[in-house]
Amino acid sequence: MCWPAPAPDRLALQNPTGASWPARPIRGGRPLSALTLDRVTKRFTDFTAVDALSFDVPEGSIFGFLGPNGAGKTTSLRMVLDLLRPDSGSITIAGQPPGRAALSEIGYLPEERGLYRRMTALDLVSYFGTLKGMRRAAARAEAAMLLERVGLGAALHRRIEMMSKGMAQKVQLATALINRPRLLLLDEPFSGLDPMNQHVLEEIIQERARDGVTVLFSTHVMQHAERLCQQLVLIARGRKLFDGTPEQARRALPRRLQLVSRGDPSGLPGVASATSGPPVDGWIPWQVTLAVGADPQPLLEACFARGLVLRDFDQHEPSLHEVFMHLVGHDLSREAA
Amino acid sequence: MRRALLIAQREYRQHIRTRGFWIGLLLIPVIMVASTVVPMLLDTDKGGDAVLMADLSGRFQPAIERAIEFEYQKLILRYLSVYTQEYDVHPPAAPVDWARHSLWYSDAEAERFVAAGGIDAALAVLQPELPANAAPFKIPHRGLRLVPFPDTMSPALAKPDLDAVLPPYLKGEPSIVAEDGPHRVIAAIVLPDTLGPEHPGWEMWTNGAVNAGIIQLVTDTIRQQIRDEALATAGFDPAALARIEAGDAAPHVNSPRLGGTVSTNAIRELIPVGCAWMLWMTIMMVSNVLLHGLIEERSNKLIESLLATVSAHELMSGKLIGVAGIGFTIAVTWTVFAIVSVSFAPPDFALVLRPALDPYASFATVFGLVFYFVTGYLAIATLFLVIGSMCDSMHDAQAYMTPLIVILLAPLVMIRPAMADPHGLLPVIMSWIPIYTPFVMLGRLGTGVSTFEVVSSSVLLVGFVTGELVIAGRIFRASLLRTGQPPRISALLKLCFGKGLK
Repeated sequence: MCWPAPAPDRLALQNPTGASWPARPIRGGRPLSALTLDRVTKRFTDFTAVDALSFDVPEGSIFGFLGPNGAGKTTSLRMVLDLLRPDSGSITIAGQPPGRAALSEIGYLPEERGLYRRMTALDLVSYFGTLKGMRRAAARAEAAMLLERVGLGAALHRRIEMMSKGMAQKVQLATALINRPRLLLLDEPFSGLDPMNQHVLEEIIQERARDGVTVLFSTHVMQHAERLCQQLVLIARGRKLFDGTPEQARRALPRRLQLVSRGDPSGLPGVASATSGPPVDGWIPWQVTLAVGADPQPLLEACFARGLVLRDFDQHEPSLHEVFMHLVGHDLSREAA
Repeated sequence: MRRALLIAQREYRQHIRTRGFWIGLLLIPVIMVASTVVPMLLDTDKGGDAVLMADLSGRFQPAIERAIEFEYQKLILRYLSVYTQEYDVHPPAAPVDWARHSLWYSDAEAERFVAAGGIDAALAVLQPELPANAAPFKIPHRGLRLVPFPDTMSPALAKPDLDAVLPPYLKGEPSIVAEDGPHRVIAAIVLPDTLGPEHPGWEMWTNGAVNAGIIQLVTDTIRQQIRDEALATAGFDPAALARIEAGDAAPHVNSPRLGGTVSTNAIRELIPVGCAWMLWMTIMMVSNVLLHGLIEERSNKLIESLLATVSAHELMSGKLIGVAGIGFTIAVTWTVFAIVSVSFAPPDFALVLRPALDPYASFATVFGLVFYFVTGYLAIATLFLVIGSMCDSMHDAQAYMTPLIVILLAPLVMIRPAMADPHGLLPVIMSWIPIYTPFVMLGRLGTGVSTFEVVSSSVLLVGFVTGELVIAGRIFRASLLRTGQPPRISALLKLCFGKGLK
């Protein structure tokens, strides 16, 4: 499947429905937004599901939409799809508001999956294609190709009720991809898939991104976000906790080091705290925590400069999981306080 | 609209592939056919019923046999009358009255018919007048015959003895075999040797069902015989008396053609009831399809995928159109079946039915049928659709369905009494209640309802359906992605007025 490569200064791509993404100039090499939420708030009676949420999803990026259960991810996605309307704030999809026109450019995989059990995989995927404006023959050809790609080439004419849960999920993914959407919204796409199929899905997401498709996915599993995302936003209880690249997210946490030395590193620049273990043959193991934003490299240089003899210098990069736990946990404890 | 039609197409195709659809579609015609054909197939006793007869006096049996023979000849005359009407033939020189349209013939006419050569002579007269494709005349089976008591049983036995030996025969075991085959015995009659004005009693044993016709025939014949004997004793000539009785004073009954005013009026009551019943059945069947389909989509979480592709309005319209297509298929199939059945119906039945169906063959009535089908379907199916949009399971839906079904049953229960007086208060009031209008007006259409009443109740119905669709659209859109218990009445009312959407 080849999506035309973006022109150098304009994006005017066509999907099989014939509809076109609005052609917009790229300003100063800065990527345009495929999706923008601006101070979006949604309340259900007394409960605020989404609270003044703002973020931009750069065009052509793989964007992680992270947050614990009940954070407001699905509500936000439903507002993007115009299934719900925000109480305040605005949403723009490639410059246009949510609605019929934008919908034809979006592929959506909901968190709660469901298919017509008595339809065959091919009929079902092509049916969604026709609903999205494709001609019947084109939809069937595209559906067959997609099902082949997700490993269901031998099950084109099998009824959904005769498929395993994993197979059905792949069929559902194909329904989201059938119209070659410019914006792909995947709500917890990896849940329920075995590691092999998770890998296939990661490949498909990367393929689409290479073709210029913007992919936004929500997940609880940080490893996927870590491997795939170029940009992410982390929300909890409807509020944004973090918005940036994975690298920026990791920097939001203080770095930790393990040192084995004959001296005390506590006073060195950038060190927030240092805890020692029992010495072995005069060598002392240290757990060092750097100040937020401090880099291990200057500390290593300071060690040499001050004559601190080192036998081991092992830096530990915080994972997104740790960032997630730190930010969400911090938010929850602040709320509890 | 394109998306709505795609949804409709899928709904239609998906449903007509199910076994349930075909069973539902064919079951009613099969039941209709079976109710007619099965009794005919099961009724192997084509020779008619038999009555065991013993006339110990030896004076009455010939007269009774003659009376039974006249009844049979009158039956043949009636069949001939229907046959001539069916092919619209008028034999120029019919020697007897079978060519006139009558459902009643006298003994004298039967006697003349027999004297003129009976059925063979009649068919010889009729044959040159018949069209080439005319089906041959089917001589009716003799309905009743007298057979003697079997040799193993003496009718002269005392009553208690006959009480003991007769029941097995009256239960059909053993069957009585006459010259023309086995017969089912339905009664036994013993006329005592003392039967006369002083001792008028005679005995009859039945199989439980009292055949008043036989009793009347035997009683009348005995009375006539006794009277003739008394008159002869008094010096009168019974033959002269018979001539006087069967002469010019005999009634000459002229009946309207079959299917004429009388029979049409009788059946006109049944046809609208049948149409209303068919409409109700069809609508209820397809409304259930709608409800189940939507609950299935909600319960298996398909709705969100659909709503990310089509609008709630398109989804609702598509479902209504698709399921209406299913209903229309059912209604058309049943109608075609009914028309074909009428075409192949026995001549006397078809002659009655066809003129009664005439008003339904006009463009206005066909338009009315389609109009009431569409509006009736929308009025009721929309309610089912709303319930389906709010419920995750049939269990949840049941709370709404039970009162709704009770309300919707009303026209079915009331249509028959209402049709007895189509312009009475009950049918008039029901005509103005929109969810009942299609059923009741369908029944009243052929009875001379004023144009004002038809038009104004139809306008009200269309207004009701339009409002219903608008409100249903609001509830549908707001309820589809809801989870948990169906909304409370207060929340529903808010939705009706457009509050709380999205």
